[in-house]
Amino acid sequence: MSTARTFIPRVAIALTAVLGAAVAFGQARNATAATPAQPQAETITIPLSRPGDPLAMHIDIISAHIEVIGEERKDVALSVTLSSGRRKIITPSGPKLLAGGGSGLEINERDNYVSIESDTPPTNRITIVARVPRRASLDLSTINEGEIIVRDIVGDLQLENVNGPITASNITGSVIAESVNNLIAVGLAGVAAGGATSLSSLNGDITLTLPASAKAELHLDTSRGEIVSDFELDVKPSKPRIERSESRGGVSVRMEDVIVATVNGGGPVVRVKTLNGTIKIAKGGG
Amino acid sequence: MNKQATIAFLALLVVADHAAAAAVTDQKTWSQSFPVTAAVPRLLIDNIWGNVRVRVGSAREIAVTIDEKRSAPSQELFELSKQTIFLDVQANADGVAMVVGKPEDTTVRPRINRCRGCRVDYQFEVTVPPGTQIDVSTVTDGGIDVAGGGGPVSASNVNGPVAVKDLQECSEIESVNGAVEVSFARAPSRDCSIKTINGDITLTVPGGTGLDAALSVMQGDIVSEFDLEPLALPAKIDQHKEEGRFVYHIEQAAGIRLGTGGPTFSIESLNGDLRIRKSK
Repeated sequence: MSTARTFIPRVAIALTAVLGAAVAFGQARNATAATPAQPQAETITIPLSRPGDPLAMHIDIISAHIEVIGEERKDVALSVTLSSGRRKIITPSGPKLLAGGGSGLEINERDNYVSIESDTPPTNRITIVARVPRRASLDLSTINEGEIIVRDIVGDLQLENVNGPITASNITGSVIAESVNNLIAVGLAGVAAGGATSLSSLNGDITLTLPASAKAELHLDTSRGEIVSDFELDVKPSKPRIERSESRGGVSVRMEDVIVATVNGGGPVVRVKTLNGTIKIAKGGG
Repeated sequence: MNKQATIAFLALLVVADHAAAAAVTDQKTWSQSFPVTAAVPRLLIDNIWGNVRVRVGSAREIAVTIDEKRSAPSQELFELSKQTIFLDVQANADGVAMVVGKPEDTTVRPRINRCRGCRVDYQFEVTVPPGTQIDVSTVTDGGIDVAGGGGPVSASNVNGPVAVKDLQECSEIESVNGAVEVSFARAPSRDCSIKTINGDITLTVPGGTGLDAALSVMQGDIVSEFDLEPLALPAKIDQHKEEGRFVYHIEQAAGIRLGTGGPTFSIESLNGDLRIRKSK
């Protein structure tokens, strides 16, 4: 009795693939919960379409700890942990924290471009440790409960973390790093001649570490913090930049007071800006 | 009301009246019994509009009562609907299959689309021998209600609830927009999948049941009458090639264990609570 079932709602199965687009609310509050069973890290090796060529990687996850480490390798080795955050099950003996639950991650590779995305609820936290070829351009973004860490990369970085810190060390290339409420620490092995390096935070300290011999022109802007430097800065005379625009029948005036200073005679421009934080220019090796 | 508006309004009334007058409906109910001799008979119902209700009856027969209501916007479409939407019944000693549209015909949806505005509601009332393997589905304006089958049950709905009671085993119980209730007469021994997108899920098992479950419940409370323990499960990793790219998909469900564990249930919902209850 084999029978084709034309109207079986396979939609249900297909839709479960996108279940993670929602937010998990309504959990029990004000209650203690037992220590959750911890989800285990899963290891995945992604072969590249063009082994040996530079990699491009894009990671965009709402709540994630993202760590990318450059190594002498021709593939991408991922360690991934998907946890459920604060999801609980209510039992007669009280609420208990769950491990996992509705967390999902999709990884795509095409022509040495690797993207990692998730539609997991923001309450779930994802930890990704990616070991990649050293020559790589990275575009990493998260919002909550996470940290972005990058090290030993030759390539351009674009890093965005709204509520967590950004740390990048031993980078040869341009770095654009943005945070809203946390610190940024970037260590460059060399200042990229053609790239634009820009570090900006609203409420965090920023530390830029340059090689002792680095040549750069620094544009430093902190409204309510100090600027501290290990280098002897040659501060150029500058005056506040005022932008005036007329629109919608009104006039708005924007003032920026940027300190321009050269290191070792000047070089490519590096912009560092924070509203409520200290800017530190540190001297590394080299 | 100006003159143009008045004319338009009257024209609308005429059209609406014509449409109402042209609608054609027909309703009939029939019953039939099919003898079955297989040790584990099979029942398959694939409905589109309407309810499916299954209960346990005589040991040697599957008895069916079907209420059919056919409607179409016009007499012409009503006649066309008889060729496009119909119930195909196949029966032999192993069981009964009742499918809206020929079972082997995968073009039933295009055929239905040709008959725009036509529909045929089938309300199924079925009794089966104890232990029958049941596989039932409907799509809209109906619910699935199965009780006391004794054999493994698969049940699915798209826009409506699914209730499967007094189960011994299940395989797939799912809805898209509807609540899902699954209750067992005894502790299950086989894996089962329970899913919905929009609706609560209630799973009832006897006290002392050993069970593991992989939960993907996005929004809504998760409540258990059992004092179960969270369980760390390995993530499911799927990898395949798709349109020239390599795709890796990782899913991490939340594990729970009732008692000392047992078969693994997969339970998924997007908008709704999950309740795990103890049989009274």
